[in-house]
Amino acid sequence: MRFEINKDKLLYHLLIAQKALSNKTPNPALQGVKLDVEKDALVITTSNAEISIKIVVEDASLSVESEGSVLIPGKYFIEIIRKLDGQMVHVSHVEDNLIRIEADHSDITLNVLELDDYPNLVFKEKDESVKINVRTLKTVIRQTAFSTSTIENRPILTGVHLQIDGKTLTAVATDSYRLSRKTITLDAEYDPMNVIIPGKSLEELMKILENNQEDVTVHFDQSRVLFKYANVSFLSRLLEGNYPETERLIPQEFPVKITFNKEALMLAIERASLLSKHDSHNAIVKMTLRQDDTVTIASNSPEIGRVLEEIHPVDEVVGSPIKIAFSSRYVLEALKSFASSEVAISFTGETRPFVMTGEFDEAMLQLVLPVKTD
Amino acid sequence: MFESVKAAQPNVVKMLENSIARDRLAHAIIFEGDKGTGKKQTALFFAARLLCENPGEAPCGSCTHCRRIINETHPNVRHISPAKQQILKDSIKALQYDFERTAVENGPKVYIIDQADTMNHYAANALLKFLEEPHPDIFGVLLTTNKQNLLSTIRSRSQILRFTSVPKNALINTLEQEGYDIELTPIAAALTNTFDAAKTLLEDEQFKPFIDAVCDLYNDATQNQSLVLSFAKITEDLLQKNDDYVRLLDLMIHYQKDVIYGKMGHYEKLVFRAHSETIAKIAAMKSLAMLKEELDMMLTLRTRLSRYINERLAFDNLMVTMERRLDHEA
Repeated sequence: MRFEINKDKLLYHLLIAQKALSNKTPNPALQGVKLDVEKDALVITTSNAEISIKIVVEDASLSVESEGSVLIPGKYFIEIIRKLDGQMVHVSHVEDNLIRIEADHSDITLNVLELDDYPNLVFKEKDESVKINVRTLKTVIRQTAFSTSTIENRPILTGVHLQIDGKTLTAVATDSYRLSRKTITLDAEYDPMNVIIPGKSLEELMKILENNQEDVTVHFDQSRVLFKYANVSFLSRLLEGNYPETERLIPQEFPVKITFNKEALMLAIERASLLSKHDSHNAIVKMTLRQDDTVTIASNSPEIGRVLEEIHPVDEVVGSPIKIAFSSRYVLEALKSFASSEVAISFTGETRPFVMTGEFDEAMLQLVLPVKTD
Repeated sequence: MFESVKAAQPNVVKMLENSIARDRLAHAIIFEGDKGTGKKQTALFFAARLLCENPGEAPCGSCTHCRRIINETHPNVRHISPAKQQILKDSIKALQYDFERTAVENGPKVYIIDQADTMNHYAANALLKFLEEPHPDIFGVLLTTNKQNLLSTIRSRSQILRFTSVPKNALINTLEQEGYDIELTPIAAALTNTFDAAKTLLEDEQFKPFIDAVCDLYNDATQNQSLVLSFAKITEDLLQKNDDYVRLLDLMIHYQKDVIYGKMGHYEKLVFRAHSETIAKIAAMKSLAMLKEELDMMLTLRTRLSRYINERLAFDNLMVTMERRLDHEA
C-alpha cells in the first residue's frame, strides 16, 4: 500500500472520522483508523462499536501507487498528520507491521494494529432509502434528542423514536418527565419504519452535518441505521425493544393558554433559578397566572432568598387563573429548541403536563410534567 | 485449537451440539469444572460454533469470525473477568448496555463470564435481572469451579454442564512413572487436574515447604499445645501474599478430608499417605461432626480469601476453633 495526498485534505477527513474513534475500549483494534487504498479512492473507517464512520476520499491530489489495507493507531496518526509540515503527505506500508509517513523533512514510522481484529462493519445501502434535507434533519435532532434520558435505568428512553408512516416522519424523545415530538413531511411515500436510535449517536451525527441544502439519505434496517451525507457514511446501532406508547400522554384539550415572548420568559426563568441551593440550572420555579392576566414567576429558597418576576403575556390570555410549579431546566431546554420568538404554553391543570408550541415551529411540541408542591 | 476441546470434553461438546441442532439452547449455560478442565476454551468453542462461517462438524478456527473469537476481539463476544478478585456491578452494567443495542455484526451475541462465582452481590443481582428477561440471540456462558457459589436463582435459570476432570489415579500413576516423589504426587494430583499443572507444582521449590508446614501443624494438633502459637511459628516466613494463604488452606482442606476419611476407616483414599499415623491420632481425638464442622469452616474461609479480609486473623480464628475442640475433648 502506497499513496500520496494533500495533507490538509487528509486531516480534514480524519477529523470527521475521529468522532467515531474510541479511546477506551476492550478491543484495541477499535483504537485504529482503517485505511483502504483503492484504485482511485482512499477509504477511511473508524468505529467505537456504537457508531461507525466511513469516508470515501476521491481527491484530485490523491495519487495511488499501490492498493492495500492497513489499521493505524488513530490517536497518533491524526496527531502526526496535524503537526506535519509541507503540502503533501506520503503514506506507505513498508513492512508487515510498519507504516511510514513522509512529508517535507519528516520521516515517521508507526507500528500498525492487527487488521484481522477489526470488526466487519456493514455499511450496506438499501435499495429504498429515505431522503431528508440536511437542515431539516438537523432541526429534528436538535428539537428532540435533548429530551432523551441520560440514565440507563430504562435504556429504551436513551434513544429517539423515529417512525415513518407514508409521507410523514415523527421523532419522539422522552425521559418520562418531559417529551419532545417533531413531525416532518417527506418528499415521497415510504414503507412504514419504526426504529429507536441512541440519542448520543444522533448528537455525534449533528457534529458532522453542515448547514447546507444537500440531502442526507437514510437507510433503515432492523438492526442498524445508515446516514449517507456527501462522501460520509455514518452507521449507528439501534436500541432493541418497544418504545412506550407516548401519544396518550399528550393532553388534547387546554383550558388555559398563555403566549410569551420566548426571550423574556427564558430570562425570567433563568433569574428565578439563580437562587437554587443545588445548581442554578435546575430549580423549582412557580408560575402563577393572576386574575388581571399578568403572570409571575417566583422561586423561594428559605436559606438564600426569594425571586419574584413579573412578565406580561404578548397575546390575550385564554382561561382562568392557574398556579403551576416546574423544573426550570426542563422548561429552559424546551424553550431553547424553538425557532419562534413567541411561544405558547397550554395548560390542562396544575398537576397535568403542559405543552409548548410555537407559530414558526411547525408540527413540533415540547411537553413538560409539572412538579407537585404544597 | 478447537479439536482439543472436543477431545478433552466430549460429553459437554455433544450436549452443546445437540442443543444447537434442536434449537433449544438455554440463555445461560454454567460450565462447572475444576481448574484446568478447559472451560474457557470450550466457551470460545461455543461462541465460534454459533458465529463461524463454515461450522460443519466443528467451527473452522480459521475464518475471520473464529480468529477474532480466539483473539477475544470479536464485537459480538464479550468477556468479563474479575478485576481485583471480584466481578463488580459495573461490568455487568456495561454488558447490559451493549446488549440493549443491536449487534455490531450480524449474528448472535455471546458473553463469557470467567470465575462467575466471584461476582459480588450487586453484580449477581444485576445479571439475574438480565436473565429474567431473556433476549433471543443472546447467550451467556458462566465459568465456575463450584456452581454452589452462584445464586440459586441464577442456577435455576441456566443449563448446567459439568466438566469432567482427568481420573486422579491415572494422573498419579503417570506422575510416579515420571519419577516424582511418591509422597508428593498424590497431593499434587489432588490440587490440579492436568498433567502439566501437576508437574509445574511438583517442580516448584515452594511446594514442599508448604506441605511440611501443614503436616507440622497437624502434628502439633495431636500434642496438647496452643495451635495459634505453633501456627505462628510454623508459618513464620512462609506466608507473604494472599496466594500463599490460599495455597496453605488448600492443602489443609485436603489434610482435613484425610482425617475424615481416617475417621471413617477409608485409609486407601488418603492424599497425605505418609501421615496415616498422625491422621489416625487426630481422628481418634475428635468426633465426625467436629471434623466436618472444621472442614466447613475451612471451605467458607476459602471463599472468603478471595475478598479483602485480614488473612492472619481469619487463620488464627480457625486455629482457635481447631484447638478448642481438642481441649474440650481432653
